[in-house]
Amino acid sequence: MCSITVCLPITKNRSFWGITWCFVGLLSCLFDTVAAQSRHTISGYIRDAGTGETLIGASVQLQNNALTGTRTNSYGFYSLTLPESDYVLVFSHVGYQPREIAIRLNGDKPLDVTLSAGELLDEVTIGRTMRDDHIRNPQMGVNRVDVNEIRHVPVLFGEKDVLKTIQLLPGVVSGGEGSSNFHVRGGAGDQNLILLDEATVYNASHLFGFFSTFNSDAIKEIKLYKGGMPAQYGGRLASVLDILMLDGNQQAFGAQGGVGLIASRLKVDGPIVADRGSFMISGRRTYADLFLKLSDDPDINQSRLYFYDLNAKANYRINERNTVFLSGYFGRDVLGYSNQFGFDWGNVTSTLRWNSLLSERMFSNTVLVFSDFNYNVAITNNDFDFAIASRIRNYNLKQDFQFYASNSSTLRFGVDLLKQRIQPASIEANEDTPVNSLQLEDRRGAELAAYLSHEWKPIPQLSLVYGLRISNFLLFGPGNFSTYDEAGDIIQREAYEKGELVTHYLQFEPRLSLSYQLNADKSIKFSYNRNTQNLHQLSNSTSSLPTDAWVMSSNNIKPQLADQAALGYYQQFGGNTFEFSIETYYKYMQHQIDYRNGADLQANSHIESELLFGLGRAYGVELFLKKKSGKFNGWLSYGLSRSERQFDAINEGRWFAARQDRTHDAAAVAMYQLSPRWNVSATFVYSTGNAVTFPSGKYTVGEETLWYYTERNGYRMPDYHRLDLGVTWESKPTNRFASSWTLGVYNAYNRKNAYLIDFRESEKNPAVTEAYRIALFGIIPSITWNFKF
Amino acid sequence: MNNIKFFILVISSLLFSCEDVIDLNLNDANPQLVIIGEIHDQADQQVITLSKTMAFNQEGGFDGVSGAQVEVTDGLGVVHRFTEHSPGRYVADHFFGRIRETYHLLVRVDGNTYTAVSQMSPMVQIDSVGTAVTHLFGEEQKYVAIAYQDPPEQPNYYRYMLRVNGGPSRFAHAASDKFNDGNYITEHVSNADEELHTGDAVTVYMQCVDQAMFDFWNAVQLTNPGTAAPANPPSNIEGGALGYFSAYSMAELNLEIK
Repeated sequence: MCSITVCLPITKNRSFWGITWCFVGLLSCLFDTVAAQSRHTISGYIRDAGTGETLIGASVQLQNNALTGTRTNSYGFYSLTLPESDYVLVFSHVGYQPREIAIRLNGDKPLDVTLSAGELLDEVTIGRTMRDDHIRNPQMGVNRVDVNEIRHVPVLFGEKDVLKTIQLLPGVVSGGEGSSNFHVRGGAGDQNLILLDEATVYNASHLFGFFSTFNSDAIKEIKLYKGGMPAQYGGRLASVLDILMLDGNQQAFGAQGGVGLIASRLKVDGPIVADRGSFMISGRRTYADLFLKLSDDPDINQSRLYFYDLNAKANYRINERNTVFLSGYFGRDVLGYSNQFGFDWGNVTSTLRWNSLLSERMFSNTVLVFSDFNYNVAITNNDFDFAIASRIRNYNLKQDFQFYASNSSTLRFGVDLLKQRIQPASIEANEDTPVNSLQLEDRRGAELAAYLSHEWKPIPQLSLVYGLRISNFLLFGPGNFSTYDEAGDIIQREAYEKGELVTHYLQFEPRLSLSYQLNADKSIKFSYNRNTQNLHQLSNSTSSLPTDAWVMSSNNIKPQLADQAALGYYQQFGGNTFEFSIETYYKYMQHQIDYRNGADLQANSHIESELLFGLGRAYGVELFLKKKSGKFNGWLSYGLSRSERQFDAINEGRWFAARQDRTHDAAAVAMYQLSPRWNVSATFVYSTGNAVTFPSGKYTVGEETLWYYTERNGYRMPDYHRLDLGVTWESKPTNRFASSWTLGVYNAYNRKNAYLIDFRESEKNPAVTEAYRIALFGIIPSITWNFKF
Repeated sequence: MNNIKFFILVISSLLFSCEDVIDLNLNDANPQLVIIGEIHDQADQQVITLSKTMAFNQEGGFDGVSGAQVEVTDGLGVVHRFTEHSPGRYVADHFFGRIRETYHLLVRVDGNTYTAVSQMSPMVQIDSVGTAVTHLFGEEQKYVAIAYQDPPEQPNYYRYMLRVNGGPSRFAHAASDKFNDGNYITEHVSNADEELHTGDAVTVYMQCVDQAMFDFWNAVQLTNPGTAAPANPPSNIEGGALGYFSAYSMAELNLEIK
């Protein structure tokens, strides 16, 4: 047994030494395990028996000692090292029938296992075999969403949307009515790291936020980290949303799809070479624009209004030890009016991944990523002919190693090298257009990070993951870089050559998450993490627009920093049918960004002079009760929280509520299997209204009435609540074909939730001013037909 | 970018939105002084108004502040004293604004002093004025089109006011040459709330204003219901009053909408 210094870094210096001691403990501990005699390793992949799809987080346990075991990583790989002996191993995963396999361990043993999907028969078995990760996993602040599990949750327009479903989890609040934007633990919308097959997705929404870019058909699993992020993730303050695409069926060709009110979907997958490789292609497109074609007006029937998504993935197992994956996402929104105005935007991501088993205990993942987001605006009419374009892209190399030192000790380390380039909005105008071409300088940066973390179980009751991420952000020329004073005036201007370093920020980001098991059904967990962020999105509107500008950390903009500590209590009961958790957190954020009054964020080469820098803090309590299995399942979530900001130039320097601050945020999700073919579901959400700025007076200038504002975010929008209902009917499946109808009702009792509140002179009497609200969605029914063969 | 906002509006309205008047309990802020001072070159009478902000629910719009000392000093040191004609409305007669002249405002009221400075920009020559028509979703919209050559290599700021069929003169649009410096520009001017129709008798005022006044009116026109953090338009008045003091040159044109 080895000793360890638990480090809770407060200041940078102290944390550095604390970390050093941690790793001294770690090394001595590794030495112990490596030196141990006659131990052997069982390792391999756990897959779905029907499709060959790898299973993430599936558990491997000893039959006679459930405390000894491991679980598969994000690629379905496990490795378990045990003393030489005979064992019965239990392989299990949610929604699958567990399998027991007896082995004689007298040497390293590769063991790939398949599990068959299926319901468990009795609750006793459930209690014994279902993984209780919830209790034992040292990782806290994480929510795992199985796409299959949420397929019955009713949604707006019947479009399944993982980004809307995660808003039903505690600690996650919606970005607005019908919006796929979300805020985690009081963070801003741009503080979420959204990864699709390890590629950063810059803009995860379609149609100004009403739909997310993630087509549920193509997704295998999503994991949301709200705190205690593992060291392999970095770059955003508030959360990591890690989305993995399906690999595709390795055994048989299949197709599934759906027709809904807004969009149609089709997915095709199948083997490339049976049991060695597979592919998956999934597409989605909206068709509201087809109705425009029916118009007689040429301006309207030439208009465009649609978006599409295409997800594609292929994998090939070269041999027992090496698998390669290639995946890509292409999505675009296209709007256009007649031939006068065009506006389109979209993301492209592509990921080349190589999983390699260097030894039975050493798993390597090498990833090469390209990610791009761009938008184009084109204006063409008699007087104007110009185009606006902007782009942000990155190339990212990640090398990750997982070393299974022993069954109580796993080491993870690697590097994450990212090169990023921002082309801010530039204007390209024709000669005779009364608009000038305008080219803002590109900005180039790199973020180089290295990390090391150790998941360790020193005693059976205690398990922890601790680690350190060291990141260095570098900003490069060419370009002119101005420095601004407090008032936003230029104090210095310097030209840099190509490749010349303008500034850099070295950051140490300690991470810790630990779990102490009180008994088989109860545990407490603690986590601390520091995160930094060097990419910032600037937006002064309530709806997120694709045209919102991106900026990197610079000589003026310091990296955003967040320190978060969290404490939680976890319990399972009813034979692990129910899980319950209560988590409380405190987060302190530095170098937060806001804007000067009247800030000009459009095509402004001095955009950094419009920024204000301040502090943030967020704290709260989150309760979560989930029923995981049975005919009736679902969850209750509740968050009580506060998120505040402090800027010298806003509200006289007082702390004020951030816009996304919602005191209460609650959700109830219930799904009930009436019969094998009928399923009903309901979702109820309630939340305190956003903090908002309303006028506290008025004045007249000439003929215009202007509003007098005294305080930023001093008011509240009305409380928000809504009930959604859904019912799914599955047709009698034949051996080749299955289909289902889903009827949904969004906002079932037609609550007029205020989308925005504005003020105006009354039409009846212009001397009187009145407030009015706009409610976006009343009761909205939807119908979707899904099929599979 | 206004096109984008327009699209959002169209899309939101497609999305079954509904609108109704609601009762909102807004605070009554302590009244705050508002100074609006405009000096121009097209009349020999200049007006400066002083008022207080009012509670949102109070009827009426102008709560004049009386008993103030208001004066404007020009670059030659000539002091123009303003006298109160009606509550809050201070007038100086025989005072023509001159282009390129720098004016200093001084206001003393309730023991406080407020000052501001503005230089009058020269007028930009209007080339032509007429009616412009656009079609959007089958709807015809008419504008006053004003064409002019923007002076190159210098920032220029404009404010347009419209008077329709003898009604009040209302703010229509504020513009800068940030994206079209030195170009031949055709500006489409209309008032947000008033549609123009064939036969309307329209007076358009084109004003070459300073940056402070542009910033004020630009903030007014950019604030929309989707603004995350609406704030008071920036003021160039020292001493803590809302409003602005601006000297500008102006041209007045009359036309009939075709």
